[in-house]
Amino acid sequence: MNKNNDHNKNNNSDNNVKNILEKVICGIKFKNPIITASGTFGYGLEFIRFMDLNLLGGIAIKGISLEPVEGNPMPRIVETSSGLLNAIGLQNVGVKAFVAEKLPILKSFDTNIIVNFWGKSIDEYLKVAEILDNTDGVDMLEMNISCPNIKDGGISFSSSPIATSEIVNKVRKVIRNKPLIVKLSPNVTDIKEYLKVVEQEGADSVSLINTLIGMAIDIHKFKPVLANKTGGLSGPAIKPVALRMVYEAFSTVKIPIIGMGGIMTGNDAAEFILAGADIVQVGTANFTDPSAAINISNELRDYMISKSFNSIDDFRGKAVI
Amino acid sequence: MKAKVIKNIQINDKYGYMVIESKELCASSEAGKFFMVSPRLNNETNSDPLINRAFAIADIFDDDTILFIYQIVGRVTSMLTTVQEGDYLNVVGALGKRFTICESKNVALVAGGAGIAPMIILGKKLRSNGNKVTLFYGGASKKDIIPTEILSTSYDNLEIATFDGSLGLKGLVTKLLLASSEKFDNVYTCGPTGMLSAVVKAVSSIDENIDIEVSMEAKMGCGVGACLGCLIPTIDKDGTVVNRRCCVEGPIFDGKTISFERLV
Repeated sequence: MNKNNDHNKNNNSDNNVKNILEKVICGIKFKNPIITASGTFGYGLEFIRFMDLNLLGGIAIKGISLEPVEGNPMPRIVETSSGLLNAIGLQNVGVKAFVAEKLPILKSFDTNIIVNFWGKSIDEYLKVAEILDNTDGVDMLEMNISCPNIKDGGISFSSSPIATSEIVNKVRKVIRNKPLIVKLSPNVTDIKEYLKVVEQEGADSVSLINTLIGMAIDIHKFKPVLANKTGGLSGPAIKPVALRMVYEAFSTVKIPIIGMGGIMTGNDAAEFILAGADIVQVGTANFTDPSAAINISNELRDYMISKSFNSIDDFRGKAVI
Repeated sequence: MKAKVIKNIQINDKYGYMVIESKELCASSEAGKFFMVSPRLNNETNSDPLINRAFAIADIFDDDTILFIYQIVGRVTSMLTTVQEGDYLNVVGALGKRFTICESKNVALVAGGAGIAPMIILGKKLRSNGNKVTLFYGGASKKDIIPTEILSTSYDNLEIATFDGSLGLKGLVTKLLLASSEKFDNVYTCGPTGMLSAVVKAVSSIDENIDIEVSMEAKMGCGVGACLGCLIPTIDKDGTVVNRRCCVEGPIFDGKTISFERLV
């Protein structure tokens, strides 16, 4: 956290012009409220060729587990109307290889590194959380209790408010150094119940929404397109659902809200902030344009200037108060 | 990045080709690489269709224009037929690995349908490196064989096969390869996965020592290695199966390492 404040301080001393996009949550300064979403930006390194990572507010790393995970069989992705359905199955290199091979390069960039993590059991959650909490260069932790694509991939921990309460309580106790974000599933009847318990158990922030469970059928082969049968739907198709849930979060919890779901433009990002998000994540848009997050940040600034907003807080929740 | 459309020609109801201008795209382009085309033209922001489509680089002219061939199969490729001269495509690339270019060898290129695209630039490059190039080109029907003027100077010999016999030999392109009296040192192939599998088998039946590179196809979500949606099962020397990303570790692979039976 200290490292973070230091380099941001340096960054802002360049000139006296106020950076209207700057936003602080959980004591972490973001130069703009745009984070690339977990699972859509690899380990960040894949994108170095296409953009200056220093221009990002933050990078949420693809979900990391204790051991490497191979993921689901192919086919894993299929396009649907204004959306992408995926069942990757949380493929990742495991925490050891991430810390040894990916993080040293990521650390050299002046952006916040948010590591998304998950486990197949409570014990695995605790072990990977503890390692990341004590790893230099990791700025925040984002706990995934909501991946729809693997049997034990955390969905069971978001299947009831009680299960969510239990896992957040335990993980909270082992995370002592970094802010803890809990990423919530939209695949529930009443997300407000989950928001309440997550806040009660001491999460520093919530991020929402993860993908919506969906399906596509191949009418010629008479079977689901995805080998996993079902997958997580992302992209503009889910934006109205995501906005509604961010609005519900805004009216339910006091901790900072990280909103996401189908953001493709600066105007989309503005909608999320107007619905109550402090910061947003950009996901599927990274696939359609590898430099999307930076364009969205610039477009958001243009929007703010056009409305004479001097900070994110000037319009956060403005549409729903 | 934006690429200006110089020419967009529909060959027939199944195929079209486009010449686009982008110095930046050309700078990273090589035989075997591909690029992604957004379904959003110019400054459009429509979200349906959403995902970019991958196209092989078919040829480069004057370091600033690129030829690509599209097969009209779905919504995005149908949309491409309506693109006008002067429009801008939004593209990402060039992406992926290139073919290995051998020197002074007897080389066979085996192409099926739209798989002809990367063979054009490859054949030209191979010929400029002193190789003798025979192009075996197959398709379902006459319509699937694009006009030879687009093939340019990519081959020394051209042999055509169509499944219905409407052009060239009647039958599969592998039949041409197996019947050839030439003794090839290297084979390069691009086409439907079933054909690639057959070509790899045919080549190893001729001689196990012939090097064969294949250009694999997979549905891609991003093209840059992030989505993990385009994995190709490969077999390492020690026999372990390793899934490799078609977009980053491919699309060009050593044909002998592909586990075709694991491909859906």
